[in-house]
Amino acid sequence: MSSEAAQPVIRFEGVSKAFAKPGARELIARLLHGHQANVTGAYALQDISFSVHKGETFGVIGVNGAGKSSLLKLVARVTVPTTGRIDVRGRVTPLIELGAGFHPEFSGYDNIFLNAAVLGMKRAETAKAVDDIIEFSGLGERIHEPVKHYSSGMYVRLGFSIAVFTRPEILLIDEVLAVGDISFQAKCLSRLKELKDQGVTFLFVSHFMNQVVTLCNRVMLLDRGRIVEIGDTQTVVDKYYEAIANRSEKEFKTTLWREHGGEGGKPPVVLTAARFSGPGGGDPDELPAGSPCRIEVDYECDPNVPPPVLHIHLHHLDGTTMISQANSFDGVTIPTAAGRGTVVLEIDILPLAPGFYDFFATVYDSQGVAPYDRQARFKRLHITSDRPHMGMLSLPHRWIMKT
Amino acid sequence: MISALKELYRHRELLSLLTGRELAARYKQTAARGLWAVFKPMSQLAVFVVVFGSLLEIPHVHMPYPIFVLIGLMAWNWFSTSVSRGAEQLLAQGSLLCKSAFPREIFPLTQVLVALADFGMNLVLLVALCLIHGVGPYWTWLLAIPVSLGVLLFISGLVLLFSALNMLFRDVGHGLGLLLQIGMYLSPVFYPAAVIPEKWRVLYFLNPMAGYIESLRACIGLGQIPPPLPLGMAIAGTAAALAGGYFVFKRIEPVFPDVL
Repeated sequence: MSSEAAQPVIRFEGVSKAFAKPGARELIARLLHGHQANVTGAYALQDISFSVHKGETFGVIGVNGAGKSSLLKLVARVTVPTTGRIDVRGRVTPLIELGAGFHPEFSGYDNIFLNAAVLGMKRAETAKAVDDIIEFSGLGERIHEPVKHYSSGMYVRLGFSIAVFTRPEILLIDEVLAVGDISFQAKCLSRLKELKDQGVTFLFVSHFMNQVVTLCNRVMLLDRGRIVEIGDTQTVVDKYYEAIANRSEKEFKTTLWREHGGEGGKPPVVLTAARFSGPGGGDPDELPAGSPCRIEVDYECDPNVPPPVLHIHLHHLDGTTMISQANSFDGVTIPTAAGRGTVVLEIDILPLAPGFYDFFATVYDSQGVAPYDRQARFKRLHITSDRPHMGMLSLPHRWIMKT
Repeated sequence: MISALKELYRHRELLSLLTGRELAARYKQTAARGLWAVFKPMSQLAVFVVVFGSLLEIPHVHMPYPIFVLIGLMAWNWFSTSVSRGAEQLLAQGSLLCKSAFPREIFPLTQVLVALADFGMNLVLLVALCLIHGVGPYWTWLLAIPVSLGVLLFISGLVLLFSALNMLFRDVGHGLGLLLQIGMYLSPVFYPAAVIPEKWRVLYFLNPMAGYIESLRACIGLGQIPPPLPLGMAIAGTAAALAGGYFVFKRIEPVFPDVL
């Protein structure tokens, strides 16, 4: 028993998966020699090694095209690796393509048996689970209608219900929690939690980091088919945020005035420096939640330019804009006659949940539309707290008990 | 190979479920329902009886022509329907193929079993014809069961082969229709093998369907034991087709989802 518990239920050893459809030559080689000829070209996954233990919830994250879906297909044994070795112990139930393989002419009831058989269930086992499945799907009497009359929501609800009531041992989840309406989603989450408590192993792919952080024990970050990092959830998620921020920064630059090559090559307003200071006046890396702060931005400008608009934004590492404060919102004008100056923004409190935040300053034309110049991420601030937090904000508060 | 067969056996319920599904789905939303299963072979039979039974004279038949031609037709239809539909199955079931891991041969084999149901329907029709024409019953009718089993295995082998090859080259699917048409003329469906000149006979029986059809006719229509050489060659061909087909299928199976 103890040795079994120590055995990983999913193990990848140096696994690579060629991306391209195998060509005729590779296929004939496979036919003649039983393996693929040396593959040239792109890889969806390269040199992937990791293991997942029983009962773990293992997250896989990465931007689109990182290889997450290819990885799930390998675990499901739907595809085979081009090179390397994969060991999977236990019944794998994909929560992917829910309802794939439903026969439109048949009732939901008949499709339960068919779908369960595809997942490797015996008829007698399915018969025992069928009431739970119908109950959970909430389809009621409509279970006896042909599935071609179902809405797409009913389709996935039935698919999900079959998957989670057919004794899964390893569940593969790909963004699936976006199925159905809010109340069904809540039901799904609590059912998944039940399964987790029963020792079911989860392989969880998601773009929603709050789900990943809430559910996963460990996380693997993939980028273009390679492992960037495997480890503790928060560390890996922060790395992912950083990768996204770098990418979106590149995208923003292409719309910047300077990069556009606007008239004269130099924009009419340039941000020469931006500074952050904490409550003591220094430039701390960390501040407790709820601290005040102060931002100064130096600029140079063409004295005749119509008054520009300065935005100070604060982004969470995941790219969410927490604040975007513009002087024009408050009816304040930036003086241009002197050809230079400094804008100071004093913030009374930063009511932010613990985490990492980046400050940006961007100056736009007088309409606030075309960006002239930007000081990107001039400050990375770590907000700390001495107590647990959930959600995005940390509001000043007090509790009052009445008896 | 053994483990692959074990795996297939473990999923036998899926095979029967898929077959049942196909059968039930076939005549949904038709007014005549199951009558189609009888109507189709009867109309085909009528055409053959009119054209070859009365307009053209076919020698060496030795039994009422409707019985003669129905045996040929039912065996050939089983074969050609299974092979042509089975070859397309893996493509048609692509979404299931990408969903879960189970023996892929289930899909093409489903079609063999579905067509077997038609064969069974025809068998009822055949018994009725025999009784009308006063043919039999003979004890050799029982021999039709093992012979049919041979046909089943032969068809399965070819279906596995062609369905796998069709995944590699879609040309297979296109060429197959043509091949099956030629194959029907090269098999004793509406004429007896006896019309083939003696010196070509052995070559002719390299086609296992020829041996099987002749054997079915001997034991059902004539009350005789199947001719040893044609049946022996058919059994040898079946073993080769089954082993080859299964081998090729298992070799290509791992990449099916990649080439969909």
